[in-house]
Amino acid sequence: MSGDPYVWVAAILTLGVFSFLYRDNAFFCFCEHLVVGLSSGYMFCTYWDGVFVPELLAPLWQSGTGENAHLWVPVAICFLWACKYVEKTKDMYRLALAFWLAIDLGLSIPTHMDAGVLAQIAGTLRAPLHGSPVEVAGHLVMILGTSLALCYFFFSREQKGLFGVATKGGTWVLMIGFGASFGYVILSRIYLLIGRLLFLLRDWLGLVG
Amino acid sequence: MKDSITYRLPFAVMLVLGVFMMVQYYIPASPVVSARDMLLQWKQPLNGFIILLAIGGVAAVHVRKVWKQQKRWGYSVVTLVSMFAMIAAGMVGGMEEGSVFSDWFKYLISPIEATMFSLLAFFVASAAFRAFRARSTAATILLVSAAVVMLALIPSVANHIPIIAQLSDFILKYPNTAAKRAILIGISLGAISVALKTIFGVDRTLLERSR
Repeated sequence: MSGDPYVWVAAILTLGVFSFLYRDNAFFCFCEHLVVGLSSGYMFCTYWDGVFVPELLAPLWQSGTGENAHLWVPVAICFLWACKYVEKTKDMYRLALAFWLAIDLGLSIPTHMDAGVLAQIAGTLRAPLHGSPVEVAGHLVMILGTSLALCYFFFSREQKGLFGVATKGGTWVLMIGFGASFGYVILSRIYLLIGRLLFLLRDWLGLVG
Repeated sequence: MKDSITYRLPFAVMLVLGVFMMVQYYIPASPVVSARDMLLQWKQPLNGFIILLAIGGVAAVHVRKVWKQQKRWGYSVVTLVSMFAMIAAGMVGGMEEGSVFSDWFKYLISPIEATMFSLLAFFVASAAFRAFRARSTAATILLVSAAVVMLALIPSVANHIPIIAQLSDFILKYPNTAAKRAILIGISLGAISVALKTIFGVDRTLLERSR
């Protein structure tokens, strides 16, 4: 059995979360609220120390009236954002939101087009049709599968006739993908469960080697 | 007039900055690149500020609950005490390896979160039991694909029946990639369309005044 107090605390909290399998109870609620508080505190420290101080406060402290004077603009935008919580000025918050959204949305258009559309189409069409028979068949499946699955997402036309057959094939390709992902999710959760049980039996109780 | 400016200005900012961020990608000229870098430099602290405000919001909700002694307010005390203790540990003791902050992450946050996710094994297994019924062709394909992938991930099965591992490899490499590519293309086209509609003010829901 472990003599490390931290291992004991971790083991007791692990049992607390597992107690939910019986039913919702006070021990589980305690663990739930504890992790919310600790995670919020963790995020606060990492964002404060990793983003807010090095990106804004430290440069302003060093040369807030010199070369870093432009950083007063994000300070002003932060104030506009905080206006949301004051009834009389809450409309000003929309200006900060517009700034924040415009940068993200504007940047997302070319990046999505490049990485999400053009690169995917190029990767599919450039699949080499040489190599072993399995590879050739695989690449054909990939080209055909991507095309059929894309047909399924085309909702501007009624899915019947030849197009209906293509969308049906697209559904099957998507089902193979969903099945593979679902299988992975199930096993990853089971691996995590095995990990937690190993922690209890090996690290805490020392029952297994 | 004042009202009109406060109403329209956010849409103007959205249009100008949105179009600039969209076209700058294709213009590698130095003034454009520096303008883009400056905007990104301005946005970075704003991201941090939004997270800090959100955490402040969580704290405010729990303080109100404790103050008014609402139902289950005792748990809010746990949240507040643990939040401020973690902040104090990080701010006072530092965040490097071996500090109290790092130990609390390792021995308090990690085990609880890992166990929470491992709990999902029971619920996912129960959902799988209901989903994996061969009631139609599509459901049968889902069942076979998931079964092959899961069996191949079990070392003893993969070692004794190599065809399962080969079949799983084929599924993951080709039809699974085809499905993921089609989904990614669909998501990207959808995201582009939403972004364009928001930037050009066709969809005004995000910037509309709250009533």
